[in-house]
Amino acid sequence: METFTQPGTEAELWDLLDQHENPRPLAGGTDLLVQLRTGKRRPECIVDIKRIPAFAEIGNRNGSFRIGAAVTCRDIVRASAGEPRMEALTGLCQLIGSRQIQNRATFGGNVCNASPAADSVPLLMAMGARYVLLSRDGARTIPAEDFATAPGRSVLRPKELLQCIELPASQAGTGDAFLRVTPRTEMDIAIASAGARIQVDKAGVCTNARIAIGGVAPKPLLVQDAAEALVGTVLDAAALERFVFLVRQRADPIDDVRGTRTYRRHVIGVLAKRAAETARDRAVAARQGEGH
Amino acid sequence: MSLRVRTVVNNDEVEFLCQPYDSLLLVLRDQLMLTGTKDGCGTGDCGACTVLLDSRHVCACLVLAAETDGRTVETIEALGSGRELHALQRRFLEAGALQCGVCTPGFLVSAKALLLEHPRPSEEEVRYWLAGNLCRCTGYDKIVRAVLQAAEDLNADAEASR
Repeated sequence: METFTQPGTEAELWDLLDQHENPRPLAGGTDLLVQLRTGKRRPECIVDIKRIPAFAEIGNRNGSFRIGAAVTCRDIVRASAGEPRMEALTGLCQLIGSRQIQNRATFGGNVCNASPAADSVPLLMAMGARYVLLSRDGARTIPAEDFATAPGRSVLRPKELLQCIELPASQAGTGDAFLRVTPRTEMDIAIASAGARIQVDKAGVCTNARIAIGGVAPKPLLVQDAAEALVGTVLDAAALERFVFLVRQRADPIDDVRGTRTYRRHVIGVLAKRAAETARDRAVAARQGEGH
Repeated sequence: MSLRVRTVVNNDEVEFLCQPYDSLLLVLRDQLMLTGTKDGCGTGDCGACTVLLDSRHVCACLVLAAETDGRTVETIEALGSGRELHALQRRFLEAGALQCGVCTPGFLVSAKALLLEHPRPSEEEVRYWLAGNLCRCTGYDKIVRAVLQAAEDLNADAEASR
């Protein structure tokens, strides 16, 4: 029998999860409700987490910027307004779906839905995000790159929820970028995507790089062997060529309605390169802005 | 198992019974008889079901009716005053920004939300903001022009009443 519940506290939440066979948490509903209508999922119980304070946190605490699982894309944009170096993140929030979707959709839901083409994940991975997973027994924190295991699957245990996403404070001289290709200009699922964080020194030489790619494997991938090819360089043509080669080597895409394996393997190299360059440009600007 | 929901719809306090997985769209149309909001796709892709939920425009097909308990909902029926058209409605009519009219309520509610937040949008901003609303008839151009003109009307009214 279908049930809808709206717990107001964590204690109520754990009790509800224990009482039901197949409870499904609800945040923005932009994935779950579509799955309901298309018949892909039919949970016995929907548990709306939006009224529980633990999932609504947004802002700086304990040295990281925390995004609660129930925080909408729109709220992230508002809360990031005064924060430095959030350009890529706020840009992403305004790229997902439509304004209507952004007013409801959450990064938490996007992460837990665990689509291989999830829009938020490559950038979160590049930014060094960690996920706090909460259950009745307590909390555990894992790196973003260790969360998804297969399409639609993650390391979440039964009766465990994503509580929030932690973004470590970004270092001086860093810049982030996210790029994706979609069949149409708006409102579409990515064919492939790339997130990048680049750090440069005063001379503009890359000292650190994190690169993640999406839509080209059963889950989003952190491609640090490719990222290493940029460290110590000024992202010159030779370094980028090596970088692109390594990115394409790591990609393991499929053919589907949105694109072919061949196209995806080609375009992910282009996206990663452009994301790295944009991140580098932002990093250089950040260095200059910091007066170094 | 029916749920009892208490909400405010178009400034009226409303109470209804619904099934746990009924969408707000279904309840608006079938129970509250507010059929201005249209069912285009049911999956949040077309925007024909756009309503305001606590002043934010959302797709009613992606909101469970039960989620609106204690919240406020505004539909297309709240635009204009019954006798007097809102500037957006007037401009849509004058510009010929509708043909079959099915997408129109969604566009008007989205445009209203846009102008509340950005009273002086550029054309590019209008196009991006309305990307969540699809139209199969008009080709969008007249819609965009109507929204820009309505923005001017509203700003002129605001100036005049200073």
